Amino acid sequence: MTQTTHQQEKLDVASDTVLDVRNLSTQFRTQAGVIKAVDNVSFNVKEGEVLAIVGESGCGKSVSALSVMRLVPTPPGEITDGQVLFGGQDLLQLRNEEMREVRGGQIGMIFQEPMTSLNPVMTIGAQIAESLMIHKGMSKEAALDRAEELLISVGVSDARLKMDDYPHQMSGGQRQRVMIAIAMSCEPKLLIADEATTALDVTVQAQILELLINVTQESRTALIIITHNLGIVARYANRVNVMYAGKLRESGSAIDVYKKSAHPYTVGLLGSVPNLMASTEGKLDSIEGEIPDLSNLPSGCAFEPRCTFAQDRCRTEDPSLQAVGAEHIAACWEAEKVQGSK
Amino acid sequence: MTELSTAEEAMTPRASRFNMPEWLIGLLRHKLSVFGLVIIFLSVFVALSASVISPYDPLQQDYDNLLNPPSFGHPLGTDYVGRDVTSRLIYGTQISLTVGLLSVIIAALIGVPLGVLAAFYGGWIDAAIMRFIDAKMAIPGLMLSMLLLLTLGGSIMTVSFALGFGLSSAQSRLIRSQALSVKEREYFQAARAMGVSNFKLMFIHMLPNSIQPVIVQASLGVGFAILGEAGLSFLGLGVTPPTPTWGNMLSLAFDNLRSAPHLMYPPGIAIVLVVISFSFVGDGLRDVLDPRLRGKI
Repeated sequence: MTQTTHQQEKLDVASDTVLDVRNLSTQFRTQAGVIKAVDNVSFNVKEGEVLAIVGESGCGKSVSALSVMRLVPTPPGEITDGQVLFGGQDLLQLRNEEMREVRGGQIGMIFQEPMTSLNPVMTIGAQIAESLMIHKGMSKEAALDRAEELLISVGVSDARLKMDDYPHQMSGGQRQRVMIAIAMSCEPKLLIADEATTALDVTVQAQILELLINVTQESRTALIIITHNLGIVARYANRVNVMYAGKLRESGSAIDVYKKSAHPYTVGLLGSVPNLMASTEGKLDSIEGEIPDLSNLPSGCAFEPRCTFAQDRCRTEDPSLQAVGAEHIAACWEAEKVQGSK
Repeated sequence: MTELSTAEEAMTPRASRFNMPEWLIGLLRHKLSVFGLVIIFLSVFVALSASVISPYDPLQQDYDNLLNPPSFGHPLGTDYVGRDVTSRLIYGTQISLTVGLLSVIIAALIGVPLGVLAAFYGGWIDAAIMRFIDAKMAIPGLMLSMLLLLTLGGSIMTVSFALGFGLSSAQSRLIRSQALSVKEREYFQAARAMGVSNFKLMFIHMLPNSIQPVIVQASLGVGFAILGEAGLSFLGLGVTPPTPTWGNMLSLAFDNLRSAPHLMYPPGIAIVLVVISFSFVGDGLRDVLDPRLRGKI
């Protein structure tokens, strides 16, 4: 990529867009062959917006997030193409030291397993303070004071005492609160929550999600929620991206994606969410089959083998993203039929 | 050693954060470790107060009392130039413990950073470091130490270095394997995502989480180094005489085995006791620190 095109594209970014990912591709070279974990994916998030990326395990959600942070393990992983525009620069072009400033400073990230994402041999206070000392250049005392305030702001009771606790002395929900405090400590412009509530029990999930939404809305921080649970997303997300086999399959406002799903995969995902109102007779819908082998994708649409709408055309030609409504795109030859079926 | 734990020990309430650390309590319940700790503290005391408690100058020769058997004047007898064995044993404790501890510290200083570097960077750096260690391990430890000592000459420092250098391979391998697993943990990823620098990632996040087996290995290593020093002294390559060490006392005892067999007991028993003590403590530490056994001891 030349410097000039880089410059031009920088100008195209709307002023309130925090993150603009363009044609991102990430591959893993394995013994089984090259796996296209993320294949030509584009999306953006605006200030104060909540974007949900949904899909089954292994569809490329987490790798997309790790690619944005440039945390894909290399080798075997490699970001082969695309741009990640953030704060007027392409993160993929930054030197390692510059990228380190961005991580934790301007982009916060929360991981899936609250039980294991805190360092077991450091106190809670020290872990929150660490980030402040790195990015804000605070003294240890100032950082610890601020850490206590942050703990209070994420709703940890007895913050003073908890500062000296080690992670094993806290519950999963509390640890995830601590993770949020760490991620938000440097007032990032973007927060990525990678399956942040998946490992928690349902009541705690709701609390943590509410907390995530509250802390990000307060500071107009953009939030990307990565999840396989569409139920979670429904209430909070402004926009939803559905990914399958490394590609973006549908993207639109949460309402459009839910009410006017244009991709059979989205329909399947929605059908497989348990619903209290549905009849208790019969069984929960599921999507037949499993995710195809990413190192050996079929020539046509990757979802074709599992799709109930599949036509001959789907077996040979991979559909590209088409507009199916205002700010609503989907990659399906039969999008109209799918929308009509709802 | 877990068999020693009994029901009444399991009933003891868990340590709170205001009391002794949990591992110390666990260690004190481990009976053989307590025996080891007592012997170690005793020998440390003897070493520190050597100049006060030793009845004679360990280097003073007395040609009227050569190879005397134990008596009131000389509780452990005298050697072939009439030096008091008790005093030599006491001063030898200083040397043996110093060499033991110093070797392990040197081993850790060499081995631990290499292992952490190898695990953190992976790729060719890992391959280069590990192949170097493999090559080193292909040479028998004693031969390597002998070679180093022949070129460097024998003093406390060089003996410790020779032994520590030999011990460092095990430390590197141990910490590397631990650090590799830490590298895959989420908190390590999270620290990376927080923008922590490589140096801090390695030495604040990776190292403290991988150090436990190294501590166990180190406490076993002290015993091994004391034994190694004795072996080298016996071969005439250790700390240069007339400085008394347990090893060269044993060597002299061997030379006079027929005329004064009592000379081999003091250094021999001292070596066995101290080496065994460090093994017991190492064993106890392993049980206490091993998360799979935690709560069962």
